[in-house]
Amino acid sequence: MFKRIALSVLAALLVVSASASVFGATPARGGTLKVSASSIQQLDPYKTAANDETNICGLVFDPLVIISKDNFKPMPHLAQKWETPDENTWVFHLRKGVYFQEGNEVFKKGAKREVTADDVVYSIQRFLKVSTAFTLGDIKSVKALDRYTVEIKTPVPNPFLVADSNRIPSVGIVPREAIEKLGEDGFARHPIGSGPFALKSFTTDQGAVLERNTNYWLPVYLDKVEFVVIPDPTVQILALTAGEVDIVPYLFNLDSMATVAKNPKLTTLSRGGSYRGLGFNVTKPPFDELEVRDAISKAMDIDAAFNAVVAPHGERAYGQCAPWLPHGYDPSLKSLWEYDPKEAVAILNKAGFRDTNGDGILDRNGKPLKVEIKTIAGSQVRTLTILATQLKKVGIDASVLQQDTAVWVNDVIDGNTQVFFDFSFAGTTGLHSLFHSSSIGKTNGHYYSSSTVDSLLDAALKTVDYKKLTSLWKQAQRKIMEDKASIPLYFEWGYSIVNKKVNDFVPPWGGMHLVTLENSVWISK
Amino acid sequence: MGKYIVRRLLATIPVLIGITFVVFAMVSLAPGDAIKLMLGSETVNAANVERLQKELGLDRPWYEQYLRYMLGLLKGDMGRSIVYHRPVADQIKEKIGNTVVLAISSAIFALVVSIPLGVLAAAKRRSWVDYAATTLAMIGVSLPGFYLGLLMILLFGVRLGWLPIRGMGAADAGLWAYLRHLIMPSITLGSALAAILTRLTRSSVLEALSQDYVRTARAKGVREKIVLYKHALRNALLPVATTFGLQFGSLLGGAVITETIFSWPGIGMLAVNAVKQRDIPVIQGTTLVFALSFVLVTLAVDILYMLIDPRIRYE
Repeated sequence: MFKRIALSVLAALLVVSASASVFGATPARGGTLKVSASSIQQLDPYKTAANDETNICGLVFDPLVIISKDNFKPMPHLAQKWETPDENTWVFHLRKGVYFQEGNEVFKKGAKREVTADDVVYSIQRFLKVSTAFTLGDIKSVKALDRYTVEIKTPVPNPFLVADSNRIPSVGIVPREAIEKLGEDGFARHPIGSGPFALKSFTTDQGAVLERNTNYWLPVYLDKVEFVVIPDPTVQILALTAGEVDIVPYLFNLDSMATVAKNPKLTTLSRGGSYRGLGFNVTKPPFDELEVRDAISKAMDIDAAFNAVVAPHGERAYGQCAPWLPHGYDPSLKSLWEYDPKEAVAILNKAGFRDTNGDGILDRNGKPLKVEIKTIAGSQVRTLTILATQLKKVGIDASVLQQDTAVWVNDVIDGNTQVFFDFSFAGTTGLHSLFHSSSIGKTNGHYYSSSTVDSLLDAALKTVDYKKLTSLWKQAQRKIMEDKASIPLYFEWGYSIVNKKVNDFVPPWGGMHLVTLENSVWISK
Repeated sequence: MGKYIVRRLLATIPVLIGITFVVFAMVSLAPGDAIKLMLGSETVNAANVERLQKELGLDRPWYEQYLRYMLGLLKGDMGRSIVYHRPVADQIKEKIGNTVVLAISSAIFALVVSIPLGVLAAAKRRSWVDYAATTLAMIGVSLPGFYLGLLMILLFGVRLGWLPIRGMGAADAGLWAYLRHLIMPSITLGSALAAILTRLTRSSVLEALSQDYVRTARAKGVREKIVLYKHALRNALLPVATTFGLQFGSLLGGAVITETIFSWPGIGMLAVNAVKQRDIPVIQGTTLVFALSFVLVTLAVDILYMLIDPRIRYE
């Protein structure tokens, strides 16, 4: 009997110790996490959309809510909870006992300056005034109801105020005293927040060192986080391989995945991604004709191109709304996109396109059917090149023109395109940005204008009934896809490459968060 | 001499004005600008961006913007970055020292390698040393900087782990750590110049060795080493110095690629980011610095001529 008990105890101990060592169940304290960055110029959280700066700000500042790692839904952070008493009002209840970082120019050690509702009011007002990168939508008022309660009123319902990673989740709370004392430029170089890490040093285009905030309200295991600037994406991967950094937060080139996969010390983590399609400027002949756009969609074997270039690092797209979004994803749109090159030729023939001069290219009124696809660098270049080859086979003179990003953006905004690489990071309001008529001359490079779509999207943006919102969003998306304003190609997963000694890391989505109610990153000894 | 220097310095002013005008016009008239890049983002706060555009006068015609920029420049104001809202002068001040250090160390590498190798190749003409030097020079000239840089990172940084692959090291890490960070960028940047100078030194020394004064020296029984280094090399250095001076300017320009690969935080990296984002004030500022450096280096080389060759007088 005694022997059996002893064996059972021994077995239990073995299981516990094995699970602790194999699965790293017990977080270890200490260590410096090194993260690669492409460029760091300033650290005011409201004046940047640059990934690296947003990531640092995500560690120095606490937002009210953070987007959950599992379902992309907002979860409590500085705000313990929130409610919407009516569809135009949001009330946030703040966590008590959260303090701004100490031992700096503004708050001396032991200052115990608590984060209160007044700080949230100040922060949101400042965000509305100075942020060029992000928008909260229309805000009617923001006020403190008491020391720990904030009320935001909107003129019309704002369903994405909390759910969109670029709205309330991107507003890190800042202390008024710091901006008043340090000035706008000073604050951008010496940011002070209440986040898990305080900035220790920062040199533009070299890096930033952050130290653990010892007063933080959640357990912080890391001693330091160091962001090291490496502008070249290839060198970022080499630095990871050489052990000079522990994390490359964004993989820019899918080709590097092969190198990464061979390295037993590294692992890839994925979260969200981006939408990639083939957009039409629907005002430019002959692409102003639905038949022509439809024929082009039927002439391309997108599955083959996707499988050759992107799979398994993405998913075929049939609409713009991504599978990770809580609304709008609609795989039933697949039926709109059938590969049928014979039908494509028949449609074009019916529309008046024929090869009259025997050069293998269809023409109409003496003009050949030409498709020049303007794009920027990325996996889509090879995908589009394959698709262009397929278009040539049915008699469309197709080519791919790779442009500098600034030139491409300029051409898309100005409508100086006919067919172009359609890109969106597929956030909550991407559909609106790409296809609402109010975005023409900004993000709607399709110059697509449909009163039906506008009214559906407008109605969706004015309801906090998420079932209704989802239904309206899907209706709008279906109409856009039926109009073939854009041919969806694929969603490409976003990857972070991480050294396996790093535990509990969550790829950034609207800023990097190493310590939340869901995770706290630590390094195995 | 003094008058000559003043005259040369004054002559640089129209050159610099011309450069600012050409760069401003080219960047302004080329498609793509910083404001449109911001507006192209689906998260943008368009109202605030349009306000920023007005505040910075970016909605005005480009020639008006240029005039305003030049008036600011006269007052010593290089403007503010459109993207990062920081004074351009501050950004350049932070980084110029790093670029100068990299350019000088690359130049030292080029000189230290090329002159002994060139002299040796000339002295041992058509021997294996000569062929090896020629092969190395060909490789140095033909290998693009970014490729050589990546190869070195892969070999010395990743495979062998001998050298750090990025940045300058921590500020408190000491001189040796700093020098270790400097080795690969300097070799990458200086390799093409080293190759050119090796070939040039070789041919110049060979030419000098065939001159009468060398034959006379040999006839007088002067030792071959002294003939080579004192008589031939000294005279052969003039074209080498000319080329070195002109190429030093391109070292500053070449730093754009090397700095990006090795994450060396100089104005080359600053310029690359500015061009990507069409940040005109920063592009202008960095171009001005490059141009001014080039002009000053050329002037310095002209003055050095007099020290190397007493026959040259500028008065």
